[in-house]
Amino acid sequence: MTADYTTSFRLSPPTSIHTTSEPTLAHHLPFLTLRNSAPSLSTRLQKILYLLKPLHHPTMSTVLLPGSPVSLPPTNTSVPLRLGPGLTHTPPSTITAHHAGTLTSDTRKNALWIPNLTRRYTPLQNDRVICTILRSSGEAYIVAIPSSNAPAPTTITATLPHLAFPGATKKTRPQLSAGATVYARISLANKHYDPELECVDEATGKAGGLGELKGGMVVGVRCGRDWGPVLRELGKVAEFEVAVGKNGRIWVEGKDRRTTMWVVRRIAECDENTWTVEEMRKKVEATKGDL
Amino acid sequence: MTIISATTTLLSRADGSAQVTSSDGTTLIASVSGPMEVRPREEQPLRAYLEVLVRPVVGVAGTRERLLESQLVSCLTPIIRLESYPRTCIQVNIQLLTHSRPIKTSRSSPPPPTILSTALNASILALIDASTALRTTVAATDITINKGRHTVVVDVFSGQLVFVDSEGEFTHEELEEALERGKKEGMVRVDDGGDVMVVDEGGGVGEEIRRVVEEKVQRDLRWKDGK
Repeated sequence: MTADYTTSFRLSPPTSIHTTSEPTLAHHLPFLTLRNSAPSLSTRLQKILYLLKPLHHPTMSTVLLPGSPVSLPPTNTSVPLRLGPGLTHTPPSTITAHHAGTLTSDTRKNALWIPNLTRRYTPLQNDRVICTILRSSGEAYIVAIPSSNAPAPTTITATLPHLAFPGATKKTRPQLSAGATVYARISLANKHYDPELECVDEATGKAGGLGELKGGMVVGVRCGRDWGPVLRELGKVAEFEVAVGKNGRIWVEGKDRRTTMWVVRRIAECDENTWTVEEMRKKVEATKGDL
Repeated sequence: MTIISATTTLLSRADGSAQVTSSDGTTLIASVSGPMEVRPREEQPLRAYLEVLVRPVVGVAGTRERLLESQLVSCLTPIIRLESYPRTCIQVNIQLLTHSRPIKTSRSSPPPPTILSTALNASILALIDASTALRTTVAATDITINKGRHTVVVDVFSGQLVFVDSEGEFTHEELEEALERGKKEGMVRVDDGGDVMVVDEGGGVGEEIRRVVEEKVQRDLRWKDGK
């Protein structure tokens, strides 16, 4: 057969589950608890775990590509297995990675996930984010949750009810103007709806650090990094207040403008070069004279 | 066809980006933005809208770029988990940097290589860089046998054929051979409980992609080391 044509065809994607009501993809949930959704599934998985034990286990240095099958490390059988970001469970017992990274596990919580550094934020329940008020509608503020330093059209819009503030009633509610920076907790996140925010701790009825952030400066960083140790290094030499948003935004207010700028510069450099705590310590030592 | 050099995370304003230079002389940048706001006309209630835009080295996009866009859309649609991002848009931008213009060839020589394979490899790297949820990783390679040119896209783990684009004169057997060679070049070495499956000495495009992603992950997670 001789052909002189252009042909293209495509095959169906590898097997996966498509459900519209119940997302099977752990990506949009902080953690997908298997026991809650299907009691028998977790027990079945535990049995599979046992069978998989003699096989090859990925070590910390193994980088998974999207689509890599994940063989489970030995886990704690008394707690249900929980899958975090980056992993997809395909019933009955296949677990695959859906973004690149190294498999990380917490044996005590019996959780597995793939950490990664991104510029795009996906809202998750209970995350604390730094957002901007766009306008006020009848019962709620419409706010933008920007992702790190992404341009405006890529932000997520969310609602922050007027009553979701400590001690707020219909008559007394905080007056926030457009452009105000707010530190809020995501109270509802679902890929099908706009997220909902709140500035009050449900359990205590108090603000618990949430609310409007006055003054200071916001710096955009990549999402997915633990900023605690780095900020503690900065706190050893500079005096400042800080709020870290999971959406890749850090708000800083120093005792004066010089301190604010110094802290913001260090955070930006640290994000750009993905410095370790040790490298940050050196930089802090080298530049503390600028304070 | 092999990847000569590849870098990721080179654009600071895009969610993910990759620059790839292939052995056929094509250099291009792929960037990924999204999930982001979608134009109301293109909004789909249960899945993301995938938009691929190809920009030539000079001038504005024409028919050739449109063809490339449609081929890339049909390759990438089954790979990206679009249903994870309902009512959003995922945009893939391809900017050609250098490209040897296809010369009118005689009937005795095979058609010139296309930019499709380079564009696809770069898009996959950019999508991985942007942490977009993907079903699997694919690798594209150009295979030339006699007077036929085949762009073969395979799943790097199973070697399953995802897409093929052939041009020129070829027999059925030659196509089969091209698919077989494409599969060999695209697959990664699988460490299956100690038995290492050797694909090819040095590895093909699939191995290259894995190496680039490994470098990226190690660079991104270096803050975790040396507490």
